[in-house]
Amino acid sequence: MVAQAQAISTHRALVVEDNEHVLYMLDFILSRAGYEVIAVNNGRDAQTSIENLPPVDIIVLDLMLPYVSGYQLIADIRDDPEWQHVPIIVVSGKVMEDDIVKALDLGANDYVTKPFRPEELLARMRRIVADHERLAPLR
Amino acid sequence: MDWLFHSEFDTAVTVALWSIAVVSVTTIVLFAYTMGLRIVTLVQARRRQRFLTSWRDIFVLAMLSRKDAAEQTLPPVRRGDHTDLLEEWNRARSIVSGSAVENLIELARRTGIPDLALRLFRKHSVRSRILAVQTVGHLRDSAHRGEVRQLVEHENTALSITAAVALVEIDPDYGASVVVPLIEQRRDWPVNRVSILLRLAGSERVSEPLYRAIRSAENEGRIYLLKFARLMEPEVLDALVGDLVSSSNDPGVLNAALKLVSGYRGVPRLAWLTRHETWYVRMQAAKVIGRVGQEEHLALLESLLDDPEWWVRYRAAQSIVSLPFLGPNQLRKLQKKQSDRFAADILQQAFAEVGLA
Repeated sequence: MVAQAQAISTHRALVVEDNEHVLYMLDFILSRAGYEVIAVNNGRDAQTSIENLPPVDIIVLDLMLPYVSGYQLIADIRDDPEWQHVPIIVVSGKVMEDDIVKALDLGANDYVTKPFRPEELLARMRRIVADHERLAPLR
Repeated sequence: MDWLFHSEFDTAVTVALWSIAVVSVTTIVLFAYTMGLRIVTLVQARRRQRFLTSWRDIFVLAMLSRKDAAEQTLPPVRRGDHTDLLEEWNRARSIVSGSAVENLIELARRTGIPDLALRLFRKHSVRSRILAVQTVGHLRDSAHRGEVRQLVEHENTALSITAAVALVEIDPDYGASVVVPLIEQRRDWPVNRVSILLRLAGSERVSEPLYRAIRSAENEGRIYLLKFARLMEPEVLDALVGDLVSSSNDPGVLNAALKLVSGYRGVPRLAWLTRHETWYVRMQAAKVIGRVGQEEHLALLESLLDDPEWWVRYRAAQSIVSLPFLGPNQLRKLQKKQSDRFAADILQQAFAEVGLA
């Protein structure tokens, strides 16, 4: 676990989640795993971050958000020239097949339903970030 | 002070001065009291925030590692902190699954949370009892299964649905067998919470009691229960839909059952359904054929293109366009052979929607 945390110690993650408790928990878990976390609690602030910040290494995104939905954010990110390749992992309470398919079709790289297993989320993030870095020279 | 009592005029001045003095002193006392209250409130709020933050960190740490949490020094918990502690633990518990849950339950035992929950259980306040039942459920504490079972039938909606969820958490098999037959009567339970409860129990436990409840219910009850039928195992759902479609003539039941058809395993009476006297049954039949139809069903859809109801014609046309075995040329030929103007028009509209026009 320590080795894994050190291995990703330089990565930045944008976490978008409107539930303050889940946001706090994700921030805590990701920070402990070595990520530098940018935490926002609504879709509008997420859009502002995307417009004003350099791309992060991974985005952890809820779907039901105030002002701008998670679906819209995925579409916006995939249309943004700088952020379009940033991996997105959706963490949502929406468990219906249609919701999952829609998010993946829009361009999410993975989908985790709430309640979730923290270690599994971190493992998925490690795998996605590693894949993203491996493919970066090809883009 | 003698100068104050020289005349009647002086008496009036004296009264006025004393009044001013009394009002001033009262104002100062009230101001000091208000400020004191404000300071006490602020200090309490800050202390509460510190308390919650420190416990939140411990709970999150416990989710990740039982060992790390065990090494943590637990902050003192005062009598007035009990409710906050239980609420915070329940919040943490409801976010995660898997080994994180076991770690949180282990930490709860070390913290004395089960005893705190039991104390709240015996209070009269509904709010306290809801928190207690939620905690007992999250702890999966089977010692109190009987007490939780009794509360499932409580008249208070929030308390009874919380107890229903808790019962399923404590003992999923027993919980599903108790709760599912009650769903039809408890229409006051929010639909989304019932869905969460059924999902928590798992389709393997829910399928049989839900199948029985739907089969034994009256038409109105069946329609209500069919909202949850997607949470059954697929083969049980298919059998249920087949039973209902072949045995019921109620338009509401047929409508609800047809919405659940997801794969073609021989939907019974399709031809009869496309000729049903109620327009929305014909419309659902058209949609079903669009989803799962085979080549032999094309004629049924064509027969609906000149239906008197616009929605039936529209869904039939959409279904024809969605059939995987018809290409653009075959679709255009099919449109040309329509003698009815309404049929040709509605096909044209469906073609336009998919860029075929």
